[in-house]
Amino acid sequence: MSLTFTAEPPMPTPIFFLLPGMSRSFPTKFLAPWFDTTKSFRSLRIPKLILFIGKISVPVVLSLFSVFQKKLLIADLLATIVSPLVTNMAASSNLEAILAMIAYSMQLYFDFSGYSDMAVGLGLMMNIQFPQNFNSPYKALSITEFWQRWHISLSTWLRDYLYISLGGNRRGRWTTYRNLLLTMAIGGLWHGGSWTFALWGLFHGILLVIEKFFREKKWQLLRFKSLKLLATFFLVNIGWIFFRSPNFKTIGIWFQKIFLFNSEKLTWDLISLPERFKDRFFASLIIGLLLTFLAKNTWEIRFKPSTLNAALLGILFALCLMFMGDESPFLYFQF
Amino acid sequence: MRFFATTLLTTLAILSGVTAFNYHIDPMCFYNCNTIDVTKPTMNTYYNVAQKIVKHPESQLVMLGSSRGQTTPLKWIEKHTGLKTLNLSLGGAELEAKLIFLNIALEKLKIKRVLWFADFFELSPEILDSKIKNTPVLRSYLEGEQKRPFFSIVSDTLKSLIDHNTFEASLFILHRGTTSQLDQGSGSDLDPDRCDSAAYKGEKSYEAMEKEVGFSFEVYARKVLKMKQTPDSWIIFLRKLEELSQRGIDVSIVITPYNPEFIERMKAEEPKTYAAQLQWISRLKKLQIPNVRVINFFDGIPGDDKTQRFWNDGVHFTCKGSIEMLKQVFPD
Repeated sequence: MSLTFTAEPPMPTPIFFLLPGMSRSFPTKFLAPWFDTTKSFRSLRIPKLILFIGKISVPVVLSLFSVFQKKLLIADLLATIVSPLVTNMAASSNLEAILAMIAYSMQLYFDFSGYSDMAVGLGLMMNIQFPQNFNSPYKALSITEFWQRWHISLSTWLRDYLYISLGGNRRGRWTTYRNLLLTMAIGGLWHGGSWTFALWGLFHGILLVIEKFFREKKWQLLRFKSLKLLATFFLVNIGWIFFRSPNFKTIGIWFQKIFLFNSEKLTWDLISLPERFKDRFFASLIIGLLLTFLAKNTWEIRFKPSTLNAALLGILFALCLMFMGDESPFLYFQF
Repeated sequence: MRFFATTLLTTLAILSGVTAFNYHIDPMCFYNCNTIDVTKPTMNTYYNVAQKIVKHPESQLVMLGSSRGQTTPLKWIEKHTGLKTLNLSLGGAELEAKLIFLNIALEKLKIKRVLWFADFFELSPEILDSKIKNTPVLRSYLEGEQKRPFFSIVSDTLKSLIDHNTFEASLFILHRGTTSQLDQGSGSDLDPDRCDSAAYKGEKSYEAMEKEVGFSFEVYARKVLKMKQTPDSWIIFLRKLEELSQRGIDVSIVITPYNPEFIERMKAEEPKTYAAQLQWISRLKKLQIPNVRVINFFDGIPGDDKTQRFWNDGVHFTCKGSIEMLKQVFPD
């Protein structure tokens, strides 16, 4: 059995059924715009809901697996180090600044994709199919591909309701570039009323424009896949500096340390990492990186309801209960 | 159905095992500690302090403080006062914790003198630490009546029984199998001559100390010191001082200092917090209770050279810094 479910053929759903469903669905409250309700609520019918209980193992696995592994074991452990490093970036060493950048990329991905998986799992328990929101985004070989894999619902929404509304790519090259920049800058601002978010969006917009220009000219800077992957990952990481920094001053200091512009005072110590979190932080970071680049994502994993898997699920559930109360709020609650 | 039955049975089996194991080892002293037992190995730092009090009944001077009191060389105090000293300082200890330790000490020891390293945050009550709340014997020494709903006690107990922290602590105790360290408290191992010498260089580099100043500012000035003190806490504090006074016990309240750079930043970036500190100090200095003396070091440690010799970070002074203050508290 696959973790993905095929959508039912379109069936008219009464509006009185759609509205309560929409209003009670927490993704719409916290993560708008997440999904196209006309598609997602098609399968919300009571007789089907009762029959569906027999298939509930898949969503339960999806939710538990994501919450425990992605959120508690990776994202939250990384956050314990990333937050103090960013807050006090001026005092961090160059190595700590680099670690903070990579760790935040991992934290954000595991936090948000874990949250999305949990929402998908909970939706499936009610026979509502939400779309996939993350498709191994850090495996992307370009920024364009990254946006086809990261927060897919938002990028789809931006494309459908902003980019295309602005004229898309139908009005010449320069208008297309302008539309890309505007769409991404506005998309950045969607995350919060801070210029740092707008700058993050603009940064991605510029990268998309450059990529488009190169594609049109049929120029290729990098030939090897591994180099493309590394370059894309690096650029995305740079982008997260704009996203995570509370102000422009922090952005400036962080960049200075990443690109070693503070040459008169280069430092490579790890003094700012609290001793009691250090081991777990590095373990989480390494596991996170391995899972990101080498493992299948949750939507690609196939799950069979066997006795062994039931026992594994039981272990997972027990672990979740043992870690209950340790979790921090999901990052995307703030957006 | 079979799938779910297997899942639930596995979950129940694991949790039952963890519960039984945690209950048996009881690493935090939540279930089987109705008295203060000095032979009991524990990971509960509050219970451990209580054990130290019982272990040293001959002590006559007790020191109360938070982590800022933990770098005090006890041998220096003993040499200059002639009193056997016990340091009950513990990281994060606020008023409730200090009073529990003091109440145990008043019951078990013959105290002549109390050295109270005062912290602003101790009068800003937070939710009581679970290590006190869930330990019956510590709870019994709390000031005032602390009634908790039955459901709250049951749910806290159940949660602690399956909590991964309790489980990790149980494994640690099982692995180590050692008894608790029952010395005279933090600072009992510090060599006063080394700390007081001109050659003392501190425990870390100047760069590391500078970094720590920044970190501690974010945590302390921006969060901990922003909590408001409550009138209730003041009343409890004053009542206890009066009680000590009536018992004929000398109390020295030491207003502990901050790193000069930390203070400068607090003045500039958190003026309200700084003003609240001054107000608190002013109230303390106005205390008119017999046998109670207030010594203020908020404006700095005598001879402070602003380096790692005196400071570990923005709020924690070294043993050198501590001795320089003690020289004023216990003049020859």
